[in-house]
Amino acid sequence: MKDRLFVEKRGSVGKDFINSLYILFKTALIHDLKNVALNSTVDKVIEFIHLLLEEDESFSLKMVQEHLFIDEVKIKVDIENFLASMFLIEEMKKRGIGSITFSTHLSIDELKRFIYAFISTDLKSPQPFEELINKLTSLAVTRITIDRVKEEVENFDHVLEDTREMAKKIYFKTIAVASEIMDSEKLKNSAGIKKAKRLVQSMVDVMLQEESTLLGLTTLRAYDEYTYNHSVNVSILSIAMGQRLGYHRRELSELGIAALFHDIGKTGLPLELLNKPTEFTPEEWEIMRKHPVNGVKTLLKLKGLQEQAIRMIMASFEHHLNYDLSGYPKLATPRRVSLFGRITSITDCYDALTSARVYNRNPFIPDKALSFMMKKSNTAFDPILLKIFINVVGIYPVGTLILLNTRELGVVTKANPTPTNIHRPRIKLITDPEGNEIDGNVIDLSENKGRSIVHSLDHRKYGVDVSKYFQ
Amino acid sequence: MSSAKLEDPKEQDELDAKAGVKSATDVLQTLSKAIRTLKIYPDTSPLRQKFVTELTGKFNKFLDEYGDLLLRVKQTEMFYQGEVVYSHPSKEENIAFRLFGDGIREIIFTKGLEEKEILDFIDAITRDCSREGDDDVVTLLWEKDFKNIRHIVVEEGGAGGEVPVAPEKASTAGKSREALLNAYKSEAVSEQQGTTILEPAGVEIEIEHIYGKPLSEIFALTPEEIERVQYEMEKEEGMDLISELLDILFHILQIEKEIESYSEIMTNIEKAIKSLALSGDYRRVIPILTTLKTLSREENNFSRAHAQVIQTTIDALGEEEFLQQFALSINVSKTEDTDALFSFLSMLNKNAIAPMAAMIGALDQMKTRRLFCDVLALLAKENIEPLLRKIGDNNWFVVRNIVYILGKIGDPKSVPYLKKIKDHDEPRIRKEIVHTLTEIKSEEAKDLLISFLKDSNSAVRMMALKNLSTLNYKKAVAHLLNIISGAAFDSKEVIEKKAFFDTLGVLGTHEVLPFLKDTLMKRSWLFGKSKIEEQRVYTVLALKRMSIPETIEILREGSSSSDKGIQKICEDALQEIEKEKR
Repeated sequence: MKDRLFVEKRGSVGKDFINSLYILFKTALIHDLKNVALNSTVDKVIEFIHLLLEEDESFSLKMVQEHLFIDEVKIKVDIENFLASMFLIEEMKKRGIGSITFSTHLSIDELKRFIYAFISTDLKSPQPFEELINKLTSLAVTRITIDRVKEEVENFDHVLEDTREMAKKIYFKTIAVASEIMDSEKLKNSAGIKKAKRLVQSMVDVMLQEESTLLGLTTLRAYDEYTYNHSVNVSILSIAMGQRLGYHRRELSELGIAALFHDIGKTGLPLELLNKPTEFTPEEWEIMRKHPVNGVKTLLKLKGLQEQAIRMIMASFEHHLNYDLSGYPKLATPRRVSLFGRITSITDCYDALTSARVYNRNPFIPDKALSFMMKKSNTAFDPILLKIFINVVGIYPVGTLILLNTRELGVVTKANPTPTNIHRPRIKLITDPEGNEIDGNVIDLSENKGRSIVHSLDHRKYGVDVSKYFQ
Repeated sequence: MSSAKLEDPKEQDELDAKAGVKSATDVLQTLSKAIRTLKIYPDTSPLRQKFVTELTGKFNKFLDEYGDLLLRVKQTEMFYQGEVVYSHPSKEENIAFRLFGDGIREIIFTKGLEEKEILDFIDAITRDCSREGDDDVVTLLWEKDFKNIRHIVVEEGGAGGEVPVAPEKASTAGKSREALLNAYKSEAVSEQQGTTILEPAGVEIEIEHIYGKPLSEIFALTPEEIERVQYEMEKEEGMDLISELLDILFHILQIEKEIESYSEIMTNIEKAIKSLALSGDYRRVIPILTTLKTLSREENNFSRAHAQVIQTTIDALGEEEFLQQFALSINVSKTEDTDALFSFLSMLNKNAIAPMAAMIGALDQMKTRRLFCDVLALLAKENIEPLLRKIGDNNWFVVRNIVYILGKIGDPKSVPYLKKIKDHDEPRIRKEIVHTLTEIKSEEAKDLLISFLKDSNSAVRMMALKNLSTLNYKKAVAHLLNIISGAAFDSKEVIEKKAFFDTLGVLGTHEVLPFLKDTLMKRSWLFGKSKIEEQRVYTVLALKRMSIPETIEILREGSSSSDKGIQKICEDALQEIEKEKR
């Protein structure tokens, strides 16, 4: 418990520290050392530094694989600290800095000298890191020290094996519960919903620790239980987006449940319709388009007017409305689509496009799906939320089979969190340059400049099973 | 002896362990007591706070002395270090039973435990989860997100007891190799032949084309975008969910033509309205009802049938069962928002009249009863029959309220019914009838009003007199004279006697002058002198009230009477009249 409390507190102060440091850098770019405008921002940074030094005589701001850490505590990126995090990562990378260590008795003057040395580093010089070191020495900055970027990967890999196992268990249990819930007979009691809530809470716990595990499991799309897989995938993707927006645990749980039940209106639709392999007739489309409203009615029967139910109702009703209300049901008067509705709309569409279904055995590969969705930005989808979604999953999402410029094949295992390197995810090499299958290394393309992605491949076309790399 | 014990570490450990168990038992007993107390006393009770403070103190004392309090949960007991520290004979009150049933096997309290956490913990374990629907203790504890309370849950099975896993893929290692080689040959070999390193041709090219800028600039959020999202998130945090739900339901109503579905939606709108009304949120109900009233008109809806569905919903709000609950809720809430309450109630349909009339007596506060009466006066204006049916109610206050409402409505059709109860035992009702008859103002009402001059209660009679004066009902004169001349008149109180003569003066015309003159000029002898003199005083009051030339004549005549008494009283009256003229 102490660890959890410590991590949470550290993470929270760390976020504030990063934000204030960012503001300080930005202010320093405009005003000189002696300017009064700098004082309040410097004071703020010092305040957070003191808080972080309560536990020890020094702490380090570290950059590892596009993530920021305060010592061992990862700082989660969300909407509140997005700009600050991206800025600091970028600036540290430009200077080849892997960590900045702050020690006790740091004075305001010394902090100011550090800031100015930092921002005045000549980035065009061949050795910016050395240049900065020299400046800091000449300015007698001793209470702040810098270290180079380290090559190590494993030290900060927070995906523990038991977390992966737990994620798998939770994922498949949730599918089982989803199938129970979607069985219209069993809908007569809400015991399934209770189980679902517990599982969604477990998913949130896993996602808060490390989201890529559960995101990786959403690649398991080859099965016929489309609706159940789909509901769970939409839930996971929505929670991931919610995390990036900065929702707290409870809100993430509500979002996850709402997303899990977004298609509950399909229960009660004829199975022949749901499983029809060919195009719908206009009459059949009419029936299908009723499912958002059917979902509202079903949820009202199940849960009445409880607060949780209303959020689920909003997701069910809104997930096909489209951002510009051009979707369905066609409304007689405009309505502002809620954030839950807009999030579910994006995640639902993405998972539907990329999933094999009875009537669509050749779904989009993930990056093509995103490209397709981006063409509908600001019409079908909220443009800002779509951007955030792509930041979460990357333009080559987890599970994408890719061809590298070295003629090697790889599978994307983790998206790159920084927007500037969104096209350079972490991948696992699965063939050598001659096409022979290998159990290759996991490499971070943002740090491996020799390799880059040429394009993605349709793994189904070639019968390549990408899911085995996530189980 | 004790020093010998302390020197033996094993014995000391045992002693410490026993003390720990005793302390843990004490903590849990206090917890159990606190739970009972919190159920009984309101939030503001100092006694409640005392229990909570005591409990927090005991917890923290334990945690300071012994470290984490790790409790193992069995079906009806809790254990600390292998010893039973909690049990309870009643399953309904047994904390362990509650936790065990939801899968909790361990509860751990750690240092730094705060009072709020303890209260939240108690809230989670005592909440009635059957009513909550799909929250159990585990989900409630999770949502509380405690810093210093943790729990271990036994894992549940999947839908059929077994947890399904991803089916084994049929592909063998050979097939996988082959598949990858095929992919390689198709994509890597045919690509850009002759080159060692391939050029990018991926989706980022397409995306850059769509946006017209480099990839590095496309996905970074701008400060404006971040601000917009944050603004929306803040807005949604304060979102009124019931309003959102109703908005959705009304959207569906605008597009849902199928009548069964339409009715289903309306049922839910009805539930929402009832929920808001019962929680005292009348202001939010008003616009909803306004919309429904609009939709209840056929020309504003898909069909008559759809409009009728709306009417049925509004009718449901006027049904006895709901209104009874509503009355209870008003008594509990003691609402100050009487304007909103009035507006809401006056939007109900006519079917609400009878139940509302019946439940007035159940309302605790007078101002609320009066409000209901005012609403009923509005609702029953064209339809007083439901009220008339209640006029014979056993509860006198219900009857009085009905009579009051009839007065506000002023419909002459109620007079025969009022006549039926004119001799009601309760004088407050008869007084109210007098008032109501005055409001109705029909001939029949005024005639009935006259009959109250002979009521057994003087306050009722006085009120009848006053109101007859106000109505200027001349027909009452003969009855006044009759009563004044009667033998029983003398036994009335002075104030009432004055009132009779005063009313006579207001209503009287020339016909009463002979009576007044006779009464004035009557000489007083030894027997009955005081009575005659008294009557003379009243007569002069009446004459002054009438204030016509003939009455002045009579007073002048009296002022020159040989009877000193008559002379004086008439002279004084004339002087007063003179003064008033000036």
